[in-house]
Amino acid sequence: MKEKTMNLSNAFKSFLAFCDRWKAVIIPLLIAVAAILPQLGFSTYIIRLMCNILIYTSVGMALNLLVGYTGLVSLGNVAFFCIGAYTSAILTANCGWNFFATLPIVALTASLGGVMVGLPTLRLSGPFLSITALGFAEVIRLIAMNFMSLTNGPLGIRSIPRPNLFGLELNLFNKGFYYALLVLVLLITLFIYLLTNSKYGRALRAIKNDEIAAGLMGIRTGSYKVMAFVICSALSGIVGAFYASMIQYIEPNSFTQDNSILTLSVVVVGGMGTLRGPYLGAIILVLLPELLRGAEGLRFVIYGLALVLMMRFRPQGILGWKSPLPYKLPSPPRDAGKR
Amino acid sequence: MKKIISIIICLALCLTFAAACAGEKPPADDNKGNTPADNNPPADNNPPEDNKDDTNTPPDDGSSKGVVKIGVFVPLTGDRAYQGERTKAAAELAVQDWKDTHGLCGGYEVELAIYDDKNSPEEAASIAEILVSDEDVMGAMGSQSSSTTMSATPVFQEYGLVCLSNTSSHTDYTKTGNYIFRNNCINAQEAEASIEMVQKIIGPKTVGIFYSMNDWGVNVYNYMTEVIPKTGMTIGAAEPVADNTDDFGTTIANFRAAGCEVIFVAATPDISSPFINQYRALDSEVQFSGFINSYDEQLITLTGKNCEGMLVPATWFNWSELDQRQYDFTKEYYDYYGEEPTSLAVQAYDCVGMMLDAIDHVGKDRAAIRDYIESIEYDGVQCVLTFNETRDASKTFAWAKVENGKFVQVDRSQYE
Amino acid sequence: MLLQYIANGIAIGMAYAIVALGYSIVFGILRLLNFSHAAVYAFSANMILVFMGWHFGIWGAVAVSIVATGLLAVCVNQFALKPLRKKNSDKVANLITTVGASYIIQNLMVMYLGSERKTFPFFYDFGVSIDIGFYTITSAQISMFVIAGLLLVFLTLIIRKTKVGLAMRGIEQNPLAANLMGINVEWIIAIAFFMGGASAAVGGALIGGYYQLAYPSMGVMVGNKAFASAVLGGLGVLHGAAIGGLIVGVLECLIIGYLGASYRDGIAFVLLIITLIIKPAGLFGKKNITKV
Repeated sequence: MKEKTMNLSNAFKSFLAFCDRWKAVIIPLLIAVAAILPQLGFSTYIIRLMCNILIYTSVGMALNLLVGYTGLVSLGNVAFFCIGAYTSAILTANCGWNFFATLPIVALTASLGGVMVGLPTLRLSGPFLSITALGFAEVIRLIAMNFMSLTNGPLGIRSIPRPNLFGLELNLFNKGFYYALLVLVLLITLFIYLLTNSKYGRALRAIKNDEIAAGLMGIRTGSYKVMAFVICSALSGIVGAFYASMIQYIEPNSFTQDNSILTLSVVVVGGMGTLRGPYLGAIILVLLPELLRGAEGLRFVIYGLALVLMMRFRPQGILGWKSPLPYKLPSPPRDAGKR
Repeated sequence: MKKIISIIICLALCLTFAAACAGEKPPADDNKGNTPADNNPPADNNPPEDNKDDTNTPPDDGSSKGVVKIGVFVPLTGDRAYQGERTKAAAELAVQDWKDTHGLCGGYEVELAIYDDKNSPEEAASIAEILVSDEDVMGAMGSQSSSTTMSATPVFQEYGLVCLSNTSSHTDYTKTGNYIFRNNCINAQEAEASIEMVQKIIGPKTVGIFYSMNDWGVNVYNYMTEVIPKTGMTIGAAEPVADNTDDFGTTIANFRAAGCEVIFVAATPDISSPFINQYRALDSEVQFSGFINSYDEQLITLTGKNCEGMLVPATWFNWSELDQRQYDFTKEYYDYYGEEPTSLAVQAYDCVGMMLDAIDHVGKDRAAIRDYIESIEYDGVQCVLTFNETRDASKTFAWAKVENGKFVQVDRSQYE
Repeated sequence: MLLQYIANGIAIGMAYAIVALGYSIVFGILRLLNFSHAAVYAFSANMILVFMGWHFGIWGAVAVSIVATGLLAVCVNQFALKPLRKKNSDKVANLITTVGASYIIQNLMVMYLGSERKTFPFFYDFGVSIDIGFYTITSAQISMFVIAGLLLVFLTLIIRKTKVGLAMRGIEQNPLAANLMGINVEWIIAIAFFMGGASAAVGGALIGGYYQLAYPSMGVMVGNKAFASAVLGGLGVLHGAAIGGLIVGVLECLIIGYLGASYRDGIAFVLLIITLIIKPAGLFGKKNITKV
């Protein structure tokens, strides 16, 4: 039995190694598949699921920068998501802005939130930071609930328009919304890839591994951490704007703690600190409850069980990567400009 | 080598994108007719189904032409599961009754497509997509809260599938479009009935409003703050409450300090019962008045003697002695589910009945079903149902009071 | 009015304090945010009703439920968290595991017991209430205060005065060294989880009785605020958790009293964030000296 699992994990490892070697081929291939998929005549239900996957992938990607690369476990990512969704919804539904024009404002307001959570991180660490973020998210939700004149409180904001690109409405019918999300997710991935392979990204990883040592090496840990928060929040906010325009109706209870935890699970289940992790994490965690519809009441029992088991057997995440060496020499970024 | 392959794939990718965009054009035309403001039913979204209808028009007697489904999306997991179960039971009962009395429906076998939405807006929207893309589904009913339903309604409207809610009370609910119907009373009517009842029966000077922080509670509260001052009563205090709150000590202290004689309780029994219990423990004189959703066996189970004398406007009476049909329904539901029906359950039963009636008359055609329901005059268990221009079913309210652990009808003429 | 608000605040704060104790015990030894604790707390109150259905009588049901809930907490540790510790995995993996465990517990309860609220017997009501003019303090509030205080003293005594407590403090300092000193680390961790679960069950009985309610999602709101209280007082410090709970409770009632109930659920977190910015380890938390 033990031998079998060893074999299995070896096979998995060599599969990962194979993927790594051929990634120049596999990555474009996967993108091509993602681009062709919606054209295969699926129902809009499937399209919506795929959109959901992309949304959680991109928000997971943003959170990954914080959790995976910098080692700051934020339990309140939904706060930025919520700020983004509300900002965009108010501007498009109430003020008649174009969706894409709201995105810079969304990034700005969400990153303001990021600064507010980021600043305490200068003094807080570990679980205390997690709780602060969780509390911040709860406070944001309550503000959305009570600031009636702006957010319409529990009544929510209704008929949020879909993005409109030069007169073409991007919706689930014409799959335009899916492609918009696909572009978004690829841009975010590319951004995180470039970022983490820059001086900035190396500083973040240094902070994750040993903050004091990083500080002694001359890295201004504080400003780097706040920057990580700001980037994560701005990206999450933008994704939130897309979410609002997909659901078309938002209210404070769409942004509960469960959402933060789901996002964090996407990062952890997929594999922290990897670019591929959030993709797999989102696919698994979004599809699982849908596939389990047949189980009725047991649905979320099985979901919980799956979380526990996945963590038990792959605590570093399914596509996570654990260095066999105590440290790894940085490899020079090869053909960083591809894609 | 790798580079060549990757370049080839990238090229292929660009081509597919181009192809995809070319393919997108025809549906893009469709959307123009689908903006919420538009009133033309976009029936052309389901050409295959229309074809089927055409080929199958000659009815074969006795044997079914296939299945027709009614979609039901309600929470079956999470903390609102019990409310979803009630709706589910009522819907099952309605289908069972239809089968017993009519057999087939317009020549089709009737089925329910029941989905669990966990009371989450995100899930409800996904389920709406499942329902609209299933060609056998001819109508949808759900969900527990307006916010959940309202994230699904844009989808129903976009594709043209009737969504008939038995619960949503959000004022804007039916504004999504002409496919969206409601068989529940609107906040304003309900609040008006409750205010009138309290004023005529008790006639207090100062009242308090206890409302839950959801769309329903806030709407009721807004309406009441507008209307109550005009009736000569004053609002002493108004306190909101979030879900899952059990402690009301300070809230009650505020009500008492304001000298409220009657408290309007705008919350479901699961939230209001600890409030009523805690209030009664401190004050034996205060009176409570509820809304439609207080007419629930659970209220009496959870508060026992504490809710004695509570006033509730009702659109429905369990074990009614006046109407044999209502008595029979209560018994049937009680035997089936082991609980007395709430007005939401009765409304769910009538919703499914109405949709089946429509299918029976016009066949499997979503647009025709919509038109039929719009002008329907359905003899439901609760009352005769018709829809007004905003697609709301109007209700008449009776007055009920809790007496000896039971809801009893109050004779209205006595107070006129 | 102020007096009334404070009296109400103490009663509700005691509820937070008891649940916060469980968070604190487990955190003290493992440095782990245990998200399954709220579900464990809800489990205890619901199990009391189940056991009462089996004619255990109320006191018997409470006793059995305390043991059962303790065992459930130990199960969470043994089946979900222990394998992770063996692999020396990341802290986040532990956190996600506890979230998974809470999903399992809560949804199983919904499945078998139904999600509706059930009446819980008010079993420690002595029918006496002290009226001071307009203000009322019920005997239930006093009993809750006394029982919670006793629980706190009892748990503190275990940790301060017994060998098990010594071992716990040892593991908190340095698990490896503790192991080398002959302490069975896993065994002590299991005991800590049992204590956490059992105290949650005492809380479940008291709070369920006080509000006369039990339902599967009852842990959500109380759990969140208890969590905030535990951190506010300083995670891992028992009296800190208790005082944190009281502060949150009293402040919440003052907020409801003077500003309205809309923001009551936010105040715990606002207070928490402010406190953590001023005192990063909480009010009574020991400042961790990071060794280089």
